[in-house]
Amino acid sequence: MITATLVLGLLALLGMPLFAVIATGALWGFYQADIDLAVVAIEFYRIAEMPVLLAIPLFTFAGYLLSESQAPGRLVNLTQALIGWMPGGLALVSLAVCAFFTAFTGASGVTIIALGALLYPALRQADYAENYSLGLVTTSGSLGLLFAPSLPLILYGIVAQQLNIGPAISIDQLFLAGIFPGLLMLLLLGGWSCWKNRSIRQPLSEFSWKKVGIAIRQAIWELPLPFVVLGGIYSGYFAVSEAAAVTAAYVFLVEVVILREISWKKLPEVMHRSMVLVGGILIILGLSLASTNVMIDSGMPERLFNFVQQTVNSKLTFLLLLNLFLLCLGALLDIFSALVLVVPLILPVAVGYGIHPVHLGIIFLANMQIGYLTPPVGMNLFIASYRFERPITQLYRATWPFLVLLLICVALITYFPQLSMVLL
Amino acid sequence: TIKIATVAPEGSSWMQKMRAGAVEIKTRTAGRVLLKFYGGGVMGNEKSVFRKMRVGQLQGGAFTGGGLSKMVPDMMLYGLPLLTRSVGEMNYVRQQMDNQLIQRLDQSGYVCFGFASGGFANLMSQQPVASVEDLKGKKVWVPEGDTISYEVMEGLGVAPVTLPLSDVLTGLQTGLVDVVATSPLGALAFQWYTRVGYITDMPLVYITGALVVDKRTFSRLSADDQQIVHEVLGQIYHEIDQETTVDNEQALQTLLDQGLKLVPPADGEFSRWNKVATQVIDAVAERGTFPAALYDQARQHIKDYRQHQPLASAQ
Amino acid sequence: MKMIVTWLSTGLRRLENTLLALLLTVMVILAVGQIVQRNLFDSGFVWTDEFLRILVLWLTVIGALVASRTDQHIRMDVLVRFVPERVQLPLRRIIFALTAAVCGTLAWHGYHFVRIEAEFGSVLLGQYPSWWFQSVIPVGFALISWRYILLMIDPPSADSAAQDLP
Ligand code: NA
Ligand code: NA
Repeated sequence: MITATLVLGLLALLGMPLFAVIATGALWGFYQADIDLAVVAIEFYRIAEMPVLLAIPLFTFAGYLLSESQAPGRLVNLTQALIGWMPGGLALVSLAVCAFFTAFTGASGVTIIALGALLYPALRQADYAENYSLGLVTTSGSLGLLFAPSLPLILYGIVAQQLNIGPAISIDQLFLAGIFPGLLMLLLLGGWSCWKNRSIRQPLSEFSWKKVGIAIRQAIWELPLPFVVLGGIYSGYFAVSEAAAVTAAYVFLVEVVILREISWKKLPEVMHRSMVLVGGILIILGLSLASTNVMIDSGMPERLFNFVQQTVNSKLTFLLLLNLFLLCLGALLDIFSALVLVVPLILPVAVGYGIHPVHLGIIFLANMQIGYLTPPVGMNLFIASYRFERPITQLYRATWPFLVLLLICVALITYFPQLSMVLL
Repeated sequence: TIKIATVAPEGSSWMQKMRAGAVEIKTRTAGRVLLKFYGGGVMGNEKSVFRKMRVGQLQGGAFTGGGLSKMVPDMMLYGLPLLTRSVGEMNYVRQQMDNQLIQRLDQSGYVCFGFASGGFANLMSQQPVASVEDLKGKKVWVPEGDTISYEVMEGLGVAPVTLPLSDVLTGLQTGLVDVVATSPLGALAFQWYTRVGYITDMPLVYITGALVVDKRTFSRLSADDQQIVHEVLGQIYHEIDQETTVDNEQALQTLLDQGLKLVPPADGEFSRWNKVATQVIDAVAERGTFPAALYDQARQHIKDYRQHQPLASAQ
Repeated sequence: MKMIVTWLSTGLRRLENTLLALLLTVMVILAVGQIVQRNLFDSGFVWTDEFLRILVLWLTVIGALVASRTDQHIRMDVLVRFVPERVQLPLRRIIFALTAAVCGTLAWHGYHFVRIEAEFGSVLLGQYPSWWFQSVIPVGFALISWRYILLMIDPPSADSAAQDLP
């Protein structure tokens, strides 16, 4: 058992694709338990039996379409016209736009690539320090993870629902729960940015309603999106998967048919790239259903539960340990694999300590968000290093103040459940 | 070890009974027969559980009548919409036919320890439903693969949504469905009641459940052990079955206390539904999807019952 | 021989690309169509929900298959960065071979699963044998395995992999 875990860990560290590592674990586990290995395929097939999953390809496609169009530019213009006059205005613009964008693209690195190219030069031109600008753009790449309809939020909901432990939760509850914690991150990072860059500000006279009007007119097609998604879901008019379908169709209509910013010729390529990401995530989900099933079959969650209950005696200590564990996990694993592999194990334990599954989800994702920035393997660090052609060590230096601020946020989110639960 | 999966939520009275039964079987067979239950649908929906029984990961499962009918079409019988009008009628039919159905399961390779009633399903909805007109534009849930209920809904001019049982709560939460049909007990057990506000006071479908174990596995036990398992599980199912009527009344009261409201059906609605249901069932029986012989038998029993007990069947 | 392989893989790539675009298009149209139908015409089609879920499965497998072309799968390659240069290539080959073996095993047992389903005559969408739709699992994993065998024989350079980041 321990040997097997070590071998799997080594395979993963040596760069075996995670889906293959998870599959190896599942195959090995069923083999040990003397169970027909066809069960792995039976579990994988459950992909076709989860109605909510439909939301994932549809939202991802919409996100990719948006990032390929000139929507990012229009959103930057609009936010710039609205809040650009504040001290550190452009920094605030970056934070806000990135958060909005990541919510739609699911923090898969698309934000840095699509928006970083736009914001980084602009920041530099406006006299923001190089390291600050780099750090901001890199951090922003995963900001907004807690806002609907981000993929990790949906995925957590799916995994938690499959487990069916503790109070029943729904994805729209998660969407609500993420709002305040997400805003807290924006507020803290924004406040610090304003203070740090208080010397950089455009004269107030730069603000004009006329400019705002023009920017609104330009972005008129994208503006209804949050209302379609959030309004539709929160009002109960749309199911999550329906909102995803409407979003995909709407974005397609706007960017391809009306504005024609994505040519018909380019469309297959956008579909292609978004579906490769979807395939990569869902194949991990499918095989992790099998590996989770091995664990459930052998009663592992109960054993872990008993072990933790005997060792850790207060909720506070448990939360502290949970944070440490998740931070390490986030430093090693990407968010999607971490979700599908670890949530089945820690959810029963956390519920045993009286933590609401929705709150756990927010804690989990907030920690994972930091994982995007932690050395040695934060994905955003690599993407930014590659995208802006800077050595990775410079990115470590550039991001650490942001990292500290996000850690404070995580602590607040963890120890003040009200932040997540107040809207439910 | 016999591993049995169910969608019944962990901690429900059903699970407690089964776990207690497992302990009793273990003691009485001196540890030769161990039953292990996986609750809360962690092994997947009914289809998944069947697949896992085929490959031998699981040896048994607790299924709904609808789930069983995927394996043995005869099991559709009790779940035919509006087959009977009252608990009395249904109990009479079951007295006459339970054993026959258990035999049919046995012939198909499943050992069954008796049926447990879940009571009658009523429409439960987010907006009051008194007539078919109120269902227009609503997303009405029909169990996946329950083509008969589906056709009845279509016959009434309603567009239903099919989902597996395990996804209904999510469906209600995400707005994928907004009208479901279940018994008060089911609404409580599956927490569906948290997402509906109204119950239409009209019995639509009789719900049954049964625990089946793969015959190959079961026949490997010694005759004495088989006898003990039959006794214990049979007794548990009998108890559940007996308590259902009372439990459902209590459950309904609990739901009403929770603020759900009972909606009386509009005049003539029952006969309207009945007419459509009978037409659909006749059509399906004619197509041969479902053995008409059993249906005819059941109808004969109902006729007998109504003749002998004109008052009770008047409803 | 080599020509046939090249010809086959080009054909396969085209097929995958087409399928990917087709499946996604059908998915969007059906999902939206269903909403429109339900809200405007009070009607629906009994099998749409089930069909959409099957589409998700197909997109998953084919998307993953496409990702295998240049090995774009999600991974954590911490250790690899610290491994000496000359060990890197053989190491990558071993990992590719192992991945191919795992996918081959998945394909074999997926085939087993599909065969059992066919034997029991289970159906989807009301009347179609479910193995038609489920075959994507064994076929998909077999092809992924094939891709990793090709990668093992001719591993891409480490740099080119980095350029394929999302
Ligand atoms: Na990472
Ligand atoms: Na990381």
